[in-house]
Order: sequence, then structure tokens, then C-alpha cells
Amino acid sequence: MSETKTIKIAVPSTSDQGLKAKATTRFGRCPIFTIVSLNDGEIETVSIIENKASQAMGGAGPLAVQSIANEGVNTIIGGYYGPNAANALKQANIQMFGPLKKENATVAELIDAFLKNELEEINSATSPGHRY
Amino acid sequence: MTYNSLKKESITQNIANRSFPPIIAVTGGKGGTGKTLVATNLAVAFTQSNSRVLLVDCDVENPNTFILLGKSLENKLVSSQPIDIFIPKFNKEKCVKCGICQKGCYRHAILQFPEHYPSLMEHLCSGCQVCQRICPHDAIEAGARQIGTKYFIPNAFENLDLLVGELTPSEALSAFIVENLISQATTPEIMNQYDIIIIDSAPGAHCDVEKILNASDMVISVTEPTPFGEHDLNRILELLRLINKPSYFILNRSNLTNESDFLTKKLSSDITKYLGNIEVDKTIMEDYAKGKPFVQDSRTFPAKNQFLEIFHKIQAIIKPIHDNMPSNLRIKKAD
Amino acid sequence: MNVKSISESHNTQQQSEETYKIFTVTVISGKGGVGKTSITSSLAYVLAQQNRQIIVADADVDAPNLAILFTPENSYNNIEHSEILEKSRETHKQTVQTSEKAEFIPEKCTHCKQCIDQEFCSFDALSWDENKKIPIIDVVACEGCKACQLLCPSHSFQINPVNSGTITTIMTDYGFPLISGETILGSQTSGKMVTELRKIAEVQAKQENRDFLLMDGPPGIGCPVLAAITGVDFIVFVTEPTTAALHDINRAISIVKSFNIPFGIIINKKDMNLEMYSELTAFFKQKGYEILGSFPINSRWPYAIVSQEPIAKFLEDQEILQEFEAIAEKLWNKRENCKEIIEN
Ligand code: SF4
Ligand code: SF4
Repeated sequence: MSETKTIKIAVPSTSDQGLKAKATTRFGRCPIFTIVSLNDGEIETVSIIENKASQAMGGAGPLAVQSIANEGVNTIIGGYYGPNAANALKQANIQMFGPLKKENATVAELIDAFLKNELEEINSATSPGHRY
Repeated sequence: MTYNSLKKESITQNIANRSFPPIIAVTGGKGGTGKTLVATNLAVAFTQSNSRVLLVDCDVENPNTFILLGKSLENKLVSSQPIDIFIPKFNKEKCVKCGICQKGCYRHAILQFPEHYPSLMEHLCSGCQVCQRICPHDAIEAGARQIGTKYFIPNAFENLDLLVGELTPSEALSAFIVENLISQATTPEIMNQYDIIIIDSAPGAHCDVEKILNASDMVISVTEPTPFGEHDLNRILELLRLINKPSYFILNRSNLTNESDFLTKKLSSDITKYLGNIEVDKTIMEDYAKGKPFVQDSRTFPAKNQFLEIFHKIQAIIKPIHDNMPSNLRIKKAD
Repeated sequence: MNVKSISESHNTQQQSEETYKIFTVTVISGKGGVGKTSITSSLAYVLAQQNRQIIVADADVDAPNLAILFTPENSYNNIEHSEILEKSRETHKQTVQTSEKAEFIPEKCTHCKQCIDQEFCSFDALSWDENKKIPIIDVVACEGCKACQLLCPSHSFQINPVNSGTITTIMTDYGFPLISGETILGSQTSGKMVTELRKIAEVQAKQENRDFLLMDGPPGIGCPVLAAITGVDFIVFVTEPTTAALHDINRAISIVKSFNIPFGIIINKKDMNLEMYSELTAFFKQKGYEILGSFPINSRWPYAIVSQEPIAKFLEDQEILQEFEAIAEKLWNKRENCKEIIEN
């Protein structure tokens, strides 16, 4: 991981409490994305966006990817990525990282683990997901 | 907004002035009640009385008519044709990466990231063409993706042609294939060649089935004397009540339980009339296993007689259509 | 900002929803009428008798029949199916909206007829009412694709979510809950209904600490089947020794293999055609497919359905009961194996 480039991380979250929010592994259907910008290993800004895809009738994965990509996100720390989401994330050049092996991790804990290089990078779909 | 309120537009039609040739749909709700058995034997029975028959297999998830007729789809005489849906093809020379197509796609099948050309997640696309119509720069061309295949088996039996639709495994758009088969079967060129068209439907009461019932002039439901058969038939009847079609039912494997008499009384109504029953029969099973229509079996057995009785009733029901239509005017009337 | 301090201050008591793992088994057959629902009901009955904490879902949303077998005190002769559900121990009923449809707003229409002339709708859901000079929407055909909404120059169309069916939870006499879905007639969204049904079953399972979900799948290989098998842990195929059933099961297996889900096969009515039965077993063995068990034709089988009882209970036949028990045991062991893999 290059320390100099700005890293913009999206974390699927269950609430809008920023770093305190509980992270979720459900990518497409999470209600909120907490977006954290890191510069040189330090948190620069924290913002949240609502995940419109959580209410979508179908194709939630790609829609969610679309909205975080529009925010300039280049890294995601979720848990399980369905095939549609994984495919779309790859096309958007967003790096995927796996979940923290701890229940009820907060966004802050995930960022912490990320900075310590404790998270596993993921290259393909990790959950069968809903294809249709 | 309910299904009900919007369907009231449909008009009660007299079977005699609908179309020529008559289209008979064989359905039933529950799977495995013998729909395909009835459809194939009905088709063969009509050929035996010198009618030219087109049998259309619209159970596209699992088409079985050809198996019951002892035919294979991998035969030189069988012509096959892919069934494709529209998918967008992005023309990079014209596209300005505006993202309008991405926002317009209700399936979220299009991705368009900042500074990138749009891309498609093919299996999410339903072929609605909205993206193509709304692209302000005319940058979307028509592409195609195969979701199924249709097979035409001429002379599967003497005077019987078979049209089979098959959904490619892992595809979801079965209704599109049903639609394709029905529109092919109802073109004047096709209809001109036959005296009767029989459609074998999928189980259930979903939109594939609804499309078939809508296209037909007479509906025959096949059920069995169990609460399962009754429950699923009731769903079909409910659907039929909404679309208003002459409807009849057959009780297959009627001696499976001792509920038959009771059920026939209970199910008969002004929505649907009882045509007859067919008993469980070893000979039918033997013929079924051999891929031979049991009406062609030279032996006589109760179930065959029961079936023929039903067949004669059906003949009598559709006779007005044949009588009303001079043979030189065999074109489907405009609805 | 100190990341650490914030995270430590956050308390964690609740079990997070993602870590709860429910072992899901779906029973499918490709072809209908081979005994799928009867067999599912009996497996549920036997598992419950073995004190397994199970939950059962009827994902055959176009023809849901499982509830019929679990409501023995209501004679079906008098009561319609939906009433059976209502009358028995219904614990929860909800309407679900899984699709959207177009609605026409007559006041806005300028009668330009572009929607018809330019074929806005690719699903043939629009036709023209010559008397009123307005379009008619065929709601069944409508896909909710928004073409009309986006293209109509006077914005006379609107897209709304519509009811696609109901999902009902009942408590059966056998100590486990049954979740049944039923789509509205002519529905095109059975697949999404199944997805919705699974979500509800999973939530309930979690609440009641049940970690085995047994699902009666839809017939065919289309969208509802795909929704009923994505992400499940094991698939049970029910088939019978006929060419048609073999053809259908092979199509279904090709999908399940592409999803990489382990599966096993039950052969029902094996003595229907013994020659074909041995061909079938040989074929499955040669392919390396697991045969979970098999059942002979039993003339009293349909009467179990009439009596609204699971076959395994109704027949009081030791051999059949034991076969069901053996299959249930195998399924349960799959769950145990799967758990170990997750934990390690
Ligand atoms: S709407 Fe047309 S121009 Fe705009 S991104 Fe899509 S294809 Fe390109
Ligand atoms: S055809 Fe329809 S579903 Fe397919 S990409 Fe275009 S807008 Fe989306």
C-alpha cells in the first residue's frame, strides 16, 4: 500500500454515526456508506452517503458500486461481495478488502485494521449473492 | 393498483368467432399432473381424425413434448434457431460518457464510472431498450444475447409439427421465449397451415402461463384428485376468471385417491366444465416410458377409452369454429 | 484523530446479523409431480422428530402446497388453501412489493399517441384506446422498465411499486415454523418473492435460534429456481425413473454445478420402471453424484396428501420412515461438516 496516495475508503455501515457506526458485511443492501479519506496513514475526512441501492428492486450491487465510484472511492472494506458487485467493483478499479474477523466491528476498527495491513485483499466474489 | 382492476378491459368472447384455427392451451397449475401427456395425445388424436396439428411446447424451462413423442432435438430434420434479446452495444466513437444510460436503466445493468465508457452486466439486462432510446448521442447500437433456442420438428408424426422453446439453463427470462413462440405460432402464414394449434404450458400461474391462456381460444386444465391438484387448479381458475376464456378440466389419475367424484362436483362451475377423467393405467406408463403416444396403442384399455371420450367432447366443442370458417378463409381474424 | 479510542468506546453486545449462519437446504426436481413437496414435508417432520431446530419455507410461490400438509385438523374439503393458513396458527402475514409497474396519468396526456407510434414499450404492454384516445397499460406484461415514463413528452406515466404477493408464517403442529409465499396471479416476479421469503425465514430463524432451513423449491429451472438455490448450502434433487424426469433433472443439475453447490439425489417411485431405475442409478454413480435414498411407489401415498399429513407420519410404514430418517440424518451431518469448515 502506497502511503502517499490519497485513499478513499467506503465502509458499508448500519448507521450514520461516522467512525462509530457499526460496519456490515452486506455490501449492496447496507443503508449507509461511511466514506473515509486517508492521507499518509491519517484520517483526513469522514463523510457518509446514503445507499440508494438498499431499496432497489434488483441490481443492488452494481448500483451501490456506481454511487461510491461517483464519490471517487478507490477502496472498499466490506465482507462479502456477490458476483455482480465484485464484477462491478473490479471494473470501477475499487480495491476490495475482507471483513475483520470480529463481531460488531465499527468503521473505526476496520480503518485501524486496514492501516495495520491486517485485512485481506479480495479478488473475486466471496458470496454467491443474488444474481437476479 | 390491482391486477383485477386493469384486466377488466378484456372482453368476453364467444369461442366461435375467435380465430381459425382454434388454439387450445393445456395447463393445470400443479406440475406432473399429466399436462404434457394430455397435450401430446390430444395432438396425435387430432391427426388421426385428419387434422393438421401444430403442437407448441411453451413449458420452456423443461420442455418434454418431444420426449413423450419419442423424438430428439438433435436430428437433421429438426431446425433450430436461437432466441436472442436486445442488449446495448456502446459505440465509443459517439459516446461522450454522460452516464444518462446508466441512470435510466431500471435493472442497474449499466455501469458508467467517471471518465469511463459505460459497460454492461449482461445477465442483468432485460432487453427493454430504454438505454438506446434515451442516449442523447445515439451511441448505443443493438447487440444480441442468446437466452434460449426454439426447435421446429416437421412431421413429428403424420400431420403433426412440433415447435419447442427451450430456455438456456441459468437464464431467467422464460416469458420472453413464450412470447416469441406464441407470436410465431399466431402469424397468418403459420396458422394457414393447420387445422388446430395445441399449446403445452408450464406449471404454475405466473406470467408465462398467463400469456399462453391469453393467446388461446379454449383452455384445458389437467389436475389430479389431491388437495395439491385442487389448490393449484384453483389458482389457474382464478386467472381464467380474470381473462374470461372457455375453460374445461380433466381429472387425470382419477383413481389415485377416492376423492374424484367429490372434486369434480366441487370444481365444476360456470368458470370451468368437467370433461372427464383418466384412470391410472399401466399401459399408459409403458407407452410413456417408450416415448409413444398411448392413443396410438392398438390395445384397448379403460384409460384410452376415457381419453377418447374426452377427445370427442373437445372435437364437438371446437366444431363450431371449423363450421363457421370456410376452408378458403383460414386466416386468423383480427382481434 | 485517534482511531483506536473511538472504537473501544463502542460497546458490542448484539450478535451481528452477518455472523449468524443458517444451513440452508433446497429441494428441487425440475419436473413437477415427482413427489418433491411430499418428500420435503416428510424430511421436515422427521428432522423435527429428531429434535432438530429447523425452519421450513415453501418457495414454490406459484403453487404453494406445503402448508396443506401441516394443517391436519382442517379438512381441505371445506376450506380453501388461503383460509387454511388464516385459520391455523398464523403468526404473521405480510404483503410484499418486489416489482414496479407503470401507471397512466390521464390528466397529463396530450393524446399525441407517440407511445404507440414510436413503440415505447418493448414488452407489448401498451395499446391504444381508440375511443378515449389514451394508452392502455397491460399490467401483467408491464416490466416496470420506465421506458414510457422516460420517453413520454408530457410525462403521463409514473412508475409505482406494486404488491406482488403475500408471505405467511404459521406455527405447525410439529414444532417448527413454516413460511409460505404466494404470488399474485400472473406475477412475473416469483424470483424476487423467493428472495424476499428467504430473507424473512432467515430473520425468524435467527430470532428463534434455528439454524437449519429446509426449503421446498419451485419447479423448472427459471428465475424462481435460481433465487431458491443461490447461496444455499446443499441441494436435494427429487426425480423419478422416466426419460422426461431425467432430462429435466440434468438441466437442473447443470445449473447447480455452475453455482458450485453440493447436492444429492432422491429417486422416488423407483419401481415405476425398474430397468430405467438401474440405468439412472448407474448414470448417477458414474457421474459421482450422491444418491441420498429412494422410495418405491406406494398406493397410499396420495392419501397422505388427502389426509394432510407428511407421508412419513401417515404411512406408518417402518421401511419408509427409516429411509426418511436416514436421509434426514445425512442432511444433518452435512450441516455439521459445514459448521466445522466455517469454524476452522
Ligand atoms: S447515454 Fe449515450 S453518450 Fe451517454 S454514456 Fe450512455 S452511451 Fe455514452
Ligand atoms: S436494455 Fe434495458 S435493461 Fe438492458 S441495459 Fe438497456 S436499459 Fe438496462
